[in-house]
Amino acid sequence: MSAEEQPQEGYVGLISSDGHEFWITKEAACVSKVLKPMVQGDGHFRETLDNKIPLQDIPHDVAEKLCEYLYYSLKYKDQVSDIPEFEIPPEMALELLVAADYLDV
Amino acid sequence: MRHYRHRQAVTGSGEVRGPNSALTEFLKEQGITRRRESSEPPDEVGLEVGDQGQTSQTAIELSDNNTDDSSGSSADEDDPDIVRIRNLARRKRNWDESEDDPDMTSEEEIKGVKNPGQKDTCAVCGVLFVVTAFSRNHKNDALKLLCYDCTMEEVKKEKEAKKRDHNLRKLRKKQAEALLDQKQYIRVPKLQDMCITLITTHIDHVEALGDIGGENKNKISRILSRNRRLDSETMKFFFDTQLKNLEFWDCSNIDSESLRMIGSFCPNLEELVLGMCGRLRKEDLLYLGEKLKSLASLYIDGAFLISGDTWNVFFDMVGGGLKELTIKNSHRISSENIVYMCEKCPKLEKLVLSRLEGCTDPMGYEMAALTLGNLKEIEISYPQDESLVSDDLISGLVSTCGPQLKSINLDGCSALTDKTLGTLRACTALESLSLSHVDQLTDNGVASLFYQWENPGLSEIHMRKCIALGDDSFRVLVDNSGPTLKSISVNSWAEIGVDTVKTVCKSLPGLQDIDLGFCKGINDECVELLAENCPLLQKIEVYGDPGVTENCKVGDGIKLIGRMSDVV
Repeated sequence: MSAEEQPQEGYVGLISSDGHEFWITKEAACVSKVLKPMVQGDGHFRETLDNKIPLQDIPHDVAEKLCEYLYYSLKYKDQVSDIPEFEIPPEMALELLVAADYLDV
Repeated sequence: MRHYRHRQAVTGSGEVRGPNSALTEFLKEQGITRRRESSEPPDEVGLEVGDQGQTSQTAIELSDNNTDDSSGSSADEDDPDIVRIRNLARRKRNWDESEDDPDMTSEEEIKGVKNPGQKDTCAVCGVLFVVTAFSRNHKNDALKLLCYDCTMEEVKKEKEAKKRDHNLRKLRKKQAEALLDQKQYIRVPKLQDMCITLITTHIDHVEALGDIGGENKNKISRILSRNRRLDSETMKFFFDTQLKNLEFWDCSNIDSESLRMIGSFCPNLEELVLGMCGRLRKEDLLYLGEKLKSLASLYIDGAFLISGDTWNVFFDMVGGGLKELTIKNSHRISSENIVYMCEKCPKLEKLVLSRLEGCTDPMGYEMAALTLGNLKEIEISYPQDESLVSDDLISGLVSTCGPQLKSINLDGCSALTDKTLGTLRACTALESLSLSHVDQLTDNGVASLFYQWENPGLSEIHMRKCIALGDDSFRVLVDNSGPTLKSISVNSWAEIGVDTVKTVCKSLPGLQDIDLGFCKGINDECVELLAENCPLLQKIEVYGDPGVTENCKVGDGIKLIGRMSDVV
């Protein structure tokens, strides 16, 4: 994303290992306890200034699923019952587990 | 009853009463009214009481004079609730007895409330409709009724409110349950847990999924054990020739042949945990002993089928390399076997002997205490008889390896006295001390150990059910180890009070969890003091403390467990 098309305020970019960028709201990113200090940090992280967070070992399909989960978690966090199931393709389970472990979600 | 009602009707004061009104009348005469909304100023409530008392008196006087009066109850008319109750009662009665009490109807009409069968205009939408027994009153104006559609609307709203209430109750219940399980209640499941569930359901095909890290493997193994899904099939997922560390906490579904496979598939294991391994047979244990050349740490819980002789042979095989040994819940291992083990496993740094019902004489424990010079951690807990572990045994242990001991656990050795505490003073490297159910200990004994003890301080102290201890022990203990203490249990130290907590809470900067169960003196203030003064505190247990109520305020980061007012 070039300098001219700076994203709106309140968004943060996750960059997968193969260079795809996923722009999600900061609120959604804060679901992850690992991303939270990077998003809200007071300048200790370079990521806060760049507004981009590289996820080195996470390929784009897993990163996409992760973003999906961040929004899913945000949407249903106050709902008591009737939370729809979050679908995970079985072949992605192991990779996603490692990624989820990394982001602590 | 009939007579009573009749009298009321004659007064005609608008004080027409159904069966409920007798109670209302009584309450009014006693000066008791319903609780008012908090928005109303309190002095007005007082006024209201006076007013109503006045009114009921007026009503009685009027009934004596037998005069018809319709304005006497004006004070009551102002209160929409009283009016509503009265109207409901009136309508209900009319529905039942409208035939034998015809003069009531005319009175009702004067009041403006229509009876079932009559026509009225809806208070909300203004439609003309026929009143039925189920027509609702308008919520602001009790004298007006609602048409069928509006009534239904109202009913729907009520149902929704009820559902919301129900959901909230359910949520609170779930939260309380999660608290008891020592878990955080999360509504949206964690992505990691979802993945693990998915992996375990597809465990049969998991080999196709590729490799995951060792830490994740152990995590999955623990989850499988907890869900009781670890069996001869699923266990194969964990096999790997390079594996150094294997944890099977629940082996009850793994048959003996599969247990033996651990030896052939994972020959490089250094640490092995076999929990609940009641199906482990003699041949399997010996096979494991033969194949696992580099075994250094072994945890075996509940191996009922292994006889004493087999243990001896096994110690012959692996004893030389063993550094950590845990044997729990076995009735066939005897004192002689322990003696033999001490001889064969000289390098042991950690020894746990817990609930060994077969050790019926003190020789085994004595041998362990006197010969194992490398020990850093020792647990001798819940012996078959309390006399097996004596003060002398402990002083022997301390003289053998006292200065290097980091962890001592003597739970349930209830023959121990203050003398033991005195000898433990020589263990200057001690980090963790557990003396639960050692009920002969006294404040003097605790003081003799902790008072001006020159050590770096303990991080864990568990002294549940040491029922003779109290305030003084708590103080001296915190004086010594306060700065390093992370976890403490003073469960059932009945005497602990607010004053002590006030003094000690200032000097516990690293405290993470505390068990204050069954301490009579503990109240809301104590818990709040701890929550305020200990920045790292995560968990407070208050089972059986009636002084801790729902008013107790602790921060979000702290779990307060076992409070009596928490509903489950």
